[in-house]
Amino acid sequence: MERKTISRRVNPSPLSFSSSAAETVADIEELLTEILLCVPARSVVRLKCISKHWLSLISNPEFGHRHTLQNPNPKVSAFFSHTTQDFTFISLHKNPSGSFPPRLFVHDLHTANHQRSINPFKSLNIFNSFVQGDRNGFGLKILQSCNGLFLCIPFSTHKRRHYHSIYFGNPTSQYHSIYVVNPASNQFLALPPPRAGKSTEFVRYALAFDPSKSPHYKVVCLSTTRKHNWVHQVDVYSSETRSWRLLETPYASRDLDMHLDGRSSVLQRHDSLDKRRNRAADSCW
Amino acid sequence: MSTSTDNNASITQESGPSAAVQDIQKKIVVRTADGEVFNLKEEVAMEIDIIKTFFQEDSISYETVMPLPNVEGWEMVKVIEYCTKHVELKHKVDGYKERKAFQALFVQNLSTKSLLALTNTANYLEVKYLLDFLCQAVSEQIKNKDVDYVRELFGVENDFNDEEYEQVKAEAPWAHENLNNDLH
Repeated sequence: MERKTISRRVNPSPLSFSSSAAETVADIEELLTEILLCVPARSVVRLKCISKHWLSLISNPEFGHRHTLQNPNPKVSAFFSHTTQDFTFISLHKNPSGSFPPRLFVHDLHTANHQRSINPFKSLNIFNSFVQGDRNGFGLKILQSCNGLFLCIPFSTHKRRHYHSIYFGNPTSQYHSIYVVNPASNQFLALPPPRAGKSTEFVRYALAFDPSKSPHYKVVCLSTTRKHNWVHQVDVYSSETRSWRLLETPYASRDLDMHLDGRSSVLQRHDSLDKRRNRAADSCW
Repeated sequence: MSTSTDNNASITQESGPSAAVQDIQKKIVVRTADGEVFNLKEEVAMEIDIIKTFFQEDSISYETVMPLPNVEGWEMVKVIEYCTKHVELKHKVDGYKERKAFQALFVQNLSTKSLLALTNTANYLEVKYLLDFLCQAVSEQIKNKDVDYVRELFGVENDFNDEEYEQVKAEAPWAHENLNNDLH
């Protein structure tokens, strides 16, 4: 990538070979930014602790976006299972010696094993926001991940109940938020409820996020209601507008699949020859 | 004949018949902060935008010695080394491996502090591709180091109090593990 050179400070005296050279780099904001843009994500997050100036520089969403664009194909760094407990997290970050950290098995939870890698989901701010206040009583179920963003719903480990996001055939049940989480920056958002009606039987969500196209993400909600026959409805949430919108008028079909590859979603109707409807969801990107 | 293909900067000491051969290719002369004088081949000098601008925009004669008060002699040597190689590789079709090997050697004996000084200089002199490369090289050297190491390196003061620091650290404890502070 062509990098334009940065406006320089005028140095009144010759730059001598000493630590002042490093300090000058730290002072020239743009030069420091250019260096930090090359530093891999895990390290650059750590460097937020250097000073308040570095914290604000690295936390700036503009920086985050530029960093993503400059590092478009990061290596897979970890595997997560659909629940966020320690024992289902496998880190691929190597030790300085070049070996992978030991994998955790269930019984390791009881040993003080300082060698294990820290699951990013354990330190999320999101747990502070649950009303009951018992951090350890909650887990997050991961529905899907897409380019670093995770779609999650909370569940209570004590009550063994899933706070599933919609009514599930019970018109009186309360809506519990679905969350979009970014564990790398420890940010999360509880989505407002989609427009699906109270007699919704079944709902599925999918997340679409492609930073190379846009810093914004979309969440698609496919809900199915039984009236005379099955009625499907698609709502799309945009992080840009922070609201849901109905994609198309509801239409009935027994055979409906939703495919999402993170960039576009395609609704396929097996029994329809209407191509316009088949590509209906492409407009959601 | 070897002097005309000499890729190293040298202090001018031209005399004798070989000087006449060298003069066919124009030379640009610069003086660094420590008083050292460098003879650059025109095509290499033109890679350095600040020099290019100085001579071309104001049509200054090549007789003039351009002062570079913000650049040390050793830095100029390195910049000339890199630019000369860059010019050489421009004419090669498949120079990728050679470039990579050269780059590895280029930074091999440079401390991180020297790298930073050189980055500053590349920015001042306005050599885009060198600046690109050096930013990447610096990032390689700080990427797995802990917070104290990087702070000391850049001479940045910690303006967090203990509580604030712990708070920022707690946002991403996974980023603070598996670090390697070995000096290269």
